[in-house]
Amino acid sequence: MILSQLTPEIMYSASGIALFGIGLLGLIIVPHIFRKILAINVMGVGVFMLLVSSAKRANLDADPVPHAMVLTGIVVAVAGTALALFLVKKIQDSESLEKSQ
Amino acid sequence: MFKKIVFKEDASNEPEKGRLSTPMALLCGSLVLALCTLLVAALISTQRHNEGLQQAVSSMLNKSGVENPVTAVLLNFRSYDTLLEIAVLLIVAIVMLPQATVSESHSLIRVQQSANAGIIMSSLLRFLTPTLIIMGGYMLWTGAYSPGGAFQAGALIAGAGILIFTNVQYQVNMHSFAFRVLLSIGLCIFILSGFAVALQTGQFLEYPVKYASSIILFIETAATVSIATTLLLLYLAVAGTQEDFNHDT
Repeated sequence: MILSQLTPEIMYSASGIALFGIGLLGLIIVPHIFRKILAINVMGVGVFMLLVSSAKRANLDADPVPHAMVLTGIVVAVAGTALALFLVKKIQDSESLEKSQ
Repeated sequence: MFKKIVFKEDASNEPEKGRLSTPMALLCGSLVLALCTLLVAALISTQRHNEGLQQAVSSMLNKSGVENPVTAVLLNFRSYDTLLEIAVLLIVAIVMLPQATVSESHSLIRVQQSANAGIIMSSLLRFLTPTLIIMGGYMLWTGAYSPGGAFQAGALIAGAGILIFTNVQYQVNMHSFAFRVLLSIGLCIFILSGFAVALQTGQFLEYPVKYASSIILFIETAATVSIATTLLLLYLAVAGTQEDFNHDT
């Protein structure tokens, strides 16, 4: 009954949800902050995948609005990740400076 | 040549700091699994209740000035989103600019003649830099007709910039006025164009149909320059070797 509904769109959306779950689990259980940033990125990719796969409606061309939203989201995710990495680097630099003093 | 990015593991005296105990981790895993199952069940049981915006976009596409529907949404129908995206990039770039120092030089690029770049790197650069810039220009142009556009073009050109400036021979001078102009020109042109078209049509960012394709190309060109510069700055600030980012460590 469930298998009969397993269209490719559902498969892609479910993969997006699975990626989100993997990222969420990583965010919770991995202690190192660099890996937490990676986990947030994996979560974001899952959300993007869900959005893009929901753009396809039966018998129609793909809806361009979710595609444009995902493109914008990717850019913001890049900027956010770079900012997070930069802050982590600053924190670690100041920590090692404190230890050396 | 490429400094290895070192994100230090926690210090050895506290190896288990912040790590969850095994039963706790298993509990979290089963909770996340339950959440995902719930989400998939919701996904399968939800009926699609409308046709989305595909028909709305394609019926207005001939007035947008471009043929690619995604570019039409990004730069015309929902150009506020793209404007704010460029603004977010600029804000992140401002945060990551190195602290201001009294700079003796005002030129954009510092060349250290004494540094030896290595024959492989310099011949690779000689071949790759023009290729990447031409590919970036193509990406920018083709965004009107097929997938492509300002961000893709900016990413390619930023790649060329990263190749050049991780080289010890060249350094980009981030305290120079020219660098700040390059960073902010995309947002400035976007906002100015938005007000300029408002004189004609009465609405901020509502392009006149006749000139829409030229205005979009103009905005995208300026945005490409800023996106490329910003991505280059982001890379250099996180992983670069320039002393601008290291003098205070």
